[in-house]
Amino acid sequence: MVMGVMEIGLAHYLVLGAVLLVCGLVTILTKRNAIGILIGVELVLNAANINLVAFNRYSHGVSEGGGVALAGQVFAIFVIVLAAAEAAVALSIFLNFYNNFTSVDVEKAKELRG
Amino acid sequence: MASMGLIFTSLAAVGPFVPEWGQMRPFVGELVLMGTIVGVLLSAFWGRRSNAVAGVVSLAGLMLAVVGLLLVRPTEGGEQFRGMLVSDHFAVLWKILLLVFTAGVVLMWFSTTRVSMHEGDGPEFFTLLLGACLGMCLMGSTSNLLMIFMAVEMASLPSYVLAGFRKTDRVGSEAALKYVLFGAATSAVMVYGLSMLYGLYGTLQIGELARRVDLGGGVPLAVAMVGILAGVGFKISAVPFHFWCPDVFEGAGVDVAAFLSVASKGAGLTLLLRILMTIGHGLGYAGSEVLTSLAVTVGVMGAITCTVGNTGAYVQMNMKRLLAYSSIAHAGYMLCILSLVVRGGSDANGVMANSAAQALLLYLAVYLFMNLGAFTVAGLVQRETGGERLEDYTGLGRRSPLLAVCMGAFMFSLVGLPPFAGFGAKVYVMWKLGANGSWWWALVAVIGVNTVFSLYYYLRVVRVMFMVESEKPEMVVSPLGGGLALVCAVMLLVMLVAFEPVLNLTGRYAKLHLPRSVPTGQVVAGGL
Amino acid sequence: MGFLNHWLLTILIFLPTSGAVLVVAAQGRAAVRWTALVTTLVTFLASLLLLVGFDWNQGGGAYGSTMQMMTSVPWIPAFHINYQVGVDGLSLPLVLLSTFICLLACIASWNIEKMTKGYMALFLFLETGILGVFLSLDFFLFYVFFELSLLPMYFLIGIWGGPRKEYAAIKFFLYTLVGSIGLLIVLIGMFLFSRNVPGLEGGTFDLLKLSDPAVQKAMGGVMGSGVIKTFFLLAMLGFLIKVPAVPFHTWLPDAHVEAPTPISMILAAILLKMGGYGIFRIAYPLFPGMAKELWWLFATIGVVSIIYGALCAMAQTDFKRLVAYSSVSHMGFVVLGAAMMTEAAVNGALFMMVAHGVTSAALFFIVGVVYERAHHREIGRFGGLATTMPVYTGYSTVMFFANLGLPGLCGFIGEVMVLLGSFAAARNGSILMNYGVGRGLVIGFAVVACFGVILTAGYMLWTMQRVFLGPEKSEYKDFPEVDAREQTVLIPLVAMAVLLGVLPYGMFFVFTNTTVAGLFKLFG
Repeated sequence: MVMGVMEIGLAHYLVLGAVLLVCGLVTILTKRNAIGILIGVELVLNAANINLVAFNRYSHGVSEGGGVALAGQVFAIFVIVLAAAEAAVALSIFLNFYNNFTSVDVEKAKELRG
Repeated sequence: MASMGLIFTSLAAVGPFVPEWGQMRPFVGELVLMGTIVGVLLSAFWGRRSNAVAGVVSLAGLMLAVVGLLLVRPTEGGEQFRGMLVSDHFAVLWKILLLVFTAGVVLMWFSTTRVSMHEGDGPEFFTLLLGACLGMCLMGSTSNLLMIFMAVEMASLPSYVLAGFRKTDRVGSEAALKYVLFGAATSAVMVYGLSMLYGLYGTLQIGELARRVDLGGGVPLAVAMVGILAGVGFKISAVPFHFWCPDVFEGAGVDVAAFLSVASKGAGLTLLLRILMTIGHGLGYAGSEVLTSLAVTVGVMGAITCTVGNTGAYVQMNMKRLLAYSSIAHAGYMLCILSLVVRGGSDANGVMANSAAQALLLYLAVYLFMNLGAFTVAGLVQRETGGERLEDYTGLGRRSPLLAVCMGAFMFSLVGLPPFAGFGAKVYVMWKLGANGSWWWALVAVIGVNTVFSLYYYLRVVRVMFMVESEKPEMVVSPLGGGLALVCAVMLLVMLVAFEPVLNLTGRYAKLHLPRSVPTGQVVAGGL
Repeated sequence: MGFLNHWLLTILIFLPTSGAVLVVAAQGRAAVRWTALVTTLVTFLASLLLLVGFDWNQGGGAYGSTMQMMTSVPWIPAFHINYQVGVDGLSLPLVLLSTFICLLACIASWNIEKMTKGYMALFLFLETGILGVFLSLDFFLFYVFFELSLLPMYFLIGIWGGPRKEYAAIKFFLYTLVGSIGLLIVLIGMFLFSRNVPGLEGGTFDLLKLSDPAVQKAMGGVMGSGVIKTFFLLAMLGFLIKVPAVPFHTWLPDAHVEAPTPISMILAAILLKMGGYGIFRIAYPLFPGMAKELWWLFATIGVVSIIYGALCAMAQTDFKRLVAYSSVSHMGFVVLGAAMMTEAAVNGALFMMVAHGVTSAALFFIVGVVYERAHHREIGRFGGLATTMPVYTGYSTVMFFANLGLPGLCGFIGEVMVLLGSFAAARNGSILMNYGVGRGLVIGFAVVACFGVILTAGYMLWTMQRVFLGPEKSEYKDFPEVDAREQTVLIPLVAMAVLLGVLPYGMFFVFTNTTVAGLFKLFG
C-alpha cells in the first residue's frame, strides 16, 4: 500500500490561521512604519477569516434542520468589508500624519507622552 | 404619478425584507440618528456649510432621539432582527444617557471649540460624531458576535477621524495615528477571538454559546476571551489596552476628548456587561469555572486599571491628560462592577447580576455630568487663555469664580466626596461589591485605597485654582459655557440629595433581555 | 413646642447653610460680615432653645432611650437610609459648644480681608457640617456630614492660611480621608451584615438599632470575631486620626500653625471633638465587646498621646505649635477615659472635650492676638508682655491655668475625673476587672497619665513665664491693648472656663449622667 496523501482538513486551516496570526502580531509589534503595522493588522484579520471560513466548511456547515448554514462565510465577508473601510480611514490618517511630520515612522510620533 | 408608482412598486418589492414597525420601534434612537446624519449632510447644501447650522441640526436630532426613546414603552423588549439586536430596558437607558451626553457635547462645542473650527468643517464633524454615537448605541444592544464586531468598528472608525480632526495640528495627527493603529490591532485580535468562539460552539449568538460554554474549550476558549477583552478593553481603555487614552485625549480637541471619555468607555462597558451577563445567564450565575475565571479576570483588570489610572495622573501637568488618566481610573471602578456577574457567597438569590447592571447605569449617569462639566471648564479655559496646562488654571478662583467653583465641584465629585453624586455612585458600587461577599471585599478595599490616591491629584487642580496667586486678567465666560458647567454641577448636587429617584430610575431600567434557548439550527441558518 | 421639638435640630443644622446663601448674595464686605455674624448668633440662640425643650429627667433607661427631639424622614428608602437626627446627653454639650465657638470664631474673623465673602460662606458651611455630625443618628448621614466638614476646612486652611498653607491643607485632607475611607467600609459592612438580623431584613443604618445588644448578638453570629475586630479597628482608626491620637497626629500641628486664627479655634475646639464623639457614639456602642477586649490598645494610645504630646509641646519654640501639641496631649485624656470604661472616666472624657474646646479656642485666639501685633510666634523672642498689655495678660493667665488644670477652672474637672475614673477601673466590680484585666496594668496606665498633668503644668507655666513675665522689651512697648472686639471673644471664653470649673454638675453632668449610664448598660 502506498501511504495515502494526507487529506487537507480543518486542522491545516487552523494552523495556517494561527501562523498568520503570529506573523501579523509580530509585524504589528516590530514594524516602525505605520503602513507596515497596518499590513500586520490585515494579516491578523485574514487569519480570523481563514478560521471563520474553515470552521464553517468543516464543522458548522449544516444547520440542525439539515439546511446550509453560512454564518462563518458571511462573517468573513463582513470582516473583509470592514477591513477595507478601516484601511481607508487608517491610510487617510497616515497621509495627514505625513503632511505634518513628513514621515509615517511611528517613532516620530513622540510629541505626546507622559 | 409615474414616480409615485415606481416608489410603491419598489417598496412592495423590498417589503418582505423590511421588518415590522413594532420591531423597529425600540430602535427609534438609532433611526433618528441616521436621519439626523442625513440632515446634517444636507444642511451643508442649503446652510452654506455653516458650522452652526450643522450643530443645531445635530442637537435637534439628538433631542428628538431622546424623546423618541423616552416614549418607548418599558414592556417592549426582546430579540429583534432574528437575534442580531436586542432591545431591552438596559439598552434604552444606556442610549438615553449616551444621547443626552452627546447633546451636551454639542452644546459644549458651541461654547468652546466652535470659534476655532474652520467654517465649513462643521457638517463633517457632526456627521462623524453622530456616526460614532450610532455605533455606540448599537454596542449597547447586541449579543451577536458579528454585530459586536460591526458595532465596535462603527463606533471606532469615526472616532479615529475625530481624534485627528484638526488636520494641521501636529499633536492631533499624532493622536489619530496612535489611536487608529492601536484600535485596528485590538479589533483584529478581537475578530480572531470571535472566530475561535464561532469555531468552538458553532453559533454567533452569545446566548446560545453560553449554554455550551461549560462543555469546555481549553486554549481556544482562552484565546477567544483574550480577544474579546482586547477589543472591548480598548474601547474601555482598560489596562493593558489603555495606552492610547492619554495621548488621544491630549492630542484631540477638548470636545472629542470629552465625548470619548464617557461615550466610548460607557459603550464598551455596556457591551461587556451584556456579554458577561448573557454567559452568566446561560450558566445560572453559578460559580462555574468559565464564569468565575471571567469574573476574576474582569475584577483584577478593574483593580489594576483604576490603580494605574490614579497613579498615572499624579505627574500630569496637562489638564486633558490628567482627565484622561482620571477617566481610566473611573473605567477601572466600573470594570469592578462587572465582576458581579458571578453570584457571590452571601448572595443566595442570584439578583447580583441585575444590580451590576444598575450600578453601571447609575455610575454612568453620574459620571456623565462630572466629565461633561470638567471638560467644558477645560474647553472654556482653553478658549480664553489658549492653554490647557495646569498653570493656565492659576487663580481661576478670582478670574472666574463660577468656573472655578464648578470645576471644584467636579473634582470633588470625581474623588467621590459628598455632597456630590460621585460619592453616592462610588458608595453604591462598593456596597454592591461588598454585598457579594468573599473576594469582592478585596475590590472594595482597592477602590477605597484608590480614592485616597486620587484625592491628591484632583486636589492639585483645586489648589492651582484657589491657592496659587496669579496676575492673569479676569476671564469672560460665554453664558452658554458657564451655564452648561453650572447645570452639570447642580445636577451632581441634586442627584445626591435626590438619590432615591435616581436609584429607582436605574433600577427600573436595569433589566436585560437575556435570550432563552432557541434551537441551534434556526439561529445558525436564519440569523447568522 | 411640638413643632420645635420636631424640627429644631433640622433648623439648627441648616440655618448656617441658609446664612451662607445670604452671604453669597450679600454685597459689600460689611454686609457679608454682618450677615455671617447674625447667622452664627441666631444659630447660637436657637441652640439655646435645646435647653428649653430638653427633658431633664431623660427617661433614664437604656442607651438610646435618652434620645430626644428625634426626627426621622426617609431619605433613600431603597436602602433604609433616613434623615434621622436627635440629641441626647452625649451630643447636647457638643452642639452648644459648637454654636458658641462658631459665634466667637465669627467675631474673631472680623479682620479677614482676603475674599471675605468666600471665607464667610465656607465658614458657615463648615458649621452645618459640624452640627450635622453631632446630631445625626443615621450612620450614612453621619458619614456624609463627617466628610462634608472636610471640604470647607480644606479651603479655609488652604486659601487663608500661612506660608505653608497648601501643604498643611492637603495633609489634613489626606489624613482625614484615609480615616474616613476605613469608616466607609465599616458603614457598608455593618449595613450588609445587619440584613441578617430578624426584623431588619432590609438592613439598617440606624445607629440606635445597630447599638442594640440584641441586634449585635444576631449580627455577631454572622460576622465572626475577625470581621468585628477589623471593623472596630477601622472605625477607631478613622476617629483616632481625627482626635488626633499619637501616632496619627502629625497633621495637626501643621494644620494649626498654618490655619488662620479663627479656623484654628474651630479646628481645635470642635473638629477634634468629632473624633471623640465618634468613639462614644459609634465605635464603642457598636462594638462594646471589642472595646473591652482592646482596651489596652487605646489606653496605651491615650497615655502615649498625653505624655508624648506634652513632651513635644515643651520642646516647641513656636507659640501656636505649642498650643497644638497641648491639644494632642489633652485629647489623649479623652481616649484614655474611653478606654478605661468607668462612668467617671467617660464622664470625665466628655467633660474634657468641652473644657478643651473652651480653653483651646481661647489659647489659639490669644496666640492670634499677639501674632497680629508682633507678626511672629517665637516664644523665645517674647517677654514682658504683662507690662504692656496687662488686660490681655489677665485673660491669658486664666486660660493658661484652665488649660493646665488649676482647680476651680474647667481643665481641672476633666483631668481629675479621667484620672479618678482610671483608678476606679482598678477597683473590684469595674468593667475591666470583671473582664479579667490585671489590676497592676490599669493602675500603671493611670499613674503614667498623672505625669502628664505635671508635664502640662510645666510647659504651660514655662511658656507663661517666657511670654508674659520678665523685663519689658522695647520692640513690644507700643503694642496696643486688646480692643473691644478681642475682648468680646475673650470674655465669654473666660466666663465659660470659670463657670464650667465651678459648676461642673449644673453646667454639664446634669446632661450627660443619664446618657452615660445608658451607655454603660451596653458594656454590661
